[in-house]
Amino acid sequence: MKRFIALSSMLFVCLLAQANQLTMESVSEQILQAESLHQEARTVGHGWVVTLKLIEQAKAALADDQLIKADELSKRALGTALASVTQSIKEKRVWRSRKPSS
Amino acid sequence: MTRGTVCLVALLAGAGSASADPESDRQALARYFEQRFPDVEVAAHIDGAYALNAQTREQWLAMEDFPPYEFSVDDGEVLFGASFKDGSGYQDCFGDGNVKAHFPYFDLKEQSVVTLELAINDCRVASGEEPLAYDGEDIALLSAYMAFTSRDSVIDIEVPPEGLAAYEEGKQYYYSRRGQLNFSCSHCHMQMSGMKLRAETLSATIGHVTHWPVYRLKWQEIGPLHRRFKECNEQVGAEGLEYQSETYRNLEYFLTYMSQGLPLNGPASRK
Repeated sequence: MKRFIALSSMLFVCLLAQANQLTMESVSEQILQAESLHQEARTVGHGWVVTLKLIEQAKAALADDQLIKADELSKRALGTALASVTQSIKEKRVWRSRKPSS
Repeated sequence: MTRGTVCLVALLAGAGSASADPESDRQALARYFEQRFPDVEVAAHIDGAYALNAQTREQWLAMEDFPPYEFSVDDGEVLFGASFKDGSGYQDCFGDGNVKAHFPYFDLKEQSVVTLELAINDCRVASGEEPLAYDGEDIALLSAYMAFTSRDSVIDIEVPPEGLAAYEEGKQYYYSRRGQLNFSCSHCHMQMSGMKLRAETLSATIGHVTHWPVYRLKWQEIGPLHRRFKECNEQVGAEGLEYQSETYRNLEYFLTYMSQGLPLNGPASRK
């Protein structure tokens, strides 16, 4: 039982520490980064619907003071935005391989 | 400049021109579908998926007995015949409306692709009228009527040297993966053409532009080709673009050249 209480306390302290690292500013910055990458993909016709949705959801969570949820959503938005930019860069190189050879 | 550099430049120039040869592209695509569907004539692809599935073709032909776009053609005819405030009308720009075979074209002055919808609005603006909304009903009705009057005309467009860049952009768009599902247009309409996506048979690239605008049962109304482009984009998780955006016009330009020589059969009905 003592061991359980000790482990639980440690977990609680860890979670508290993680939550303390999150700030409105850090999450906002993450959202801005996702927006910027999304815009980069969008200008070359590679914007993804899901990124925009995640950004909107992250903003809503942040406005609602749900910092952990906003953090999670903005990280996912950042991930999909990055994937869309990667797609646009890769496709510039490989699209020709799909057209039938003359 | 060394001889080696000259050779390299010549090679690169050669590679560039080889990639921008619409007629070679069209012939290669036609060959691709001839090999993929040896029992289907290339011209038959103007009926889309109904050229590839006998059962759905039968249902579609039955529906064509009372085509759902019929009223749209009638309403479009009324709009087409109406006069502008200055006394002129669409006839002054398009004659009897049988002009679709030559759209889209590359406008040398504007240095961009002009689709039929764009030309309709240019005609209006030149007469002092407000342009129509590209996602509105009137422009779909007008183009439905013009598609009807253009039926059986053979697609005959040109890609002048100045238009090659626009054509190439359209081609690149068609063959590029996009969206979260990481699909290009060609994945569905070349590699998987004739196969099923849920309950629907996927149509071939060739013939994609011959029958627009289309009355889709899903939409419960007649709509333009760019609406379908946008919908296709969104189906693979990509953000759709504005109707008549430069990218969609270039895509239409490429796809129309791929159907060069095929008869127009619009408007049409689709599921």
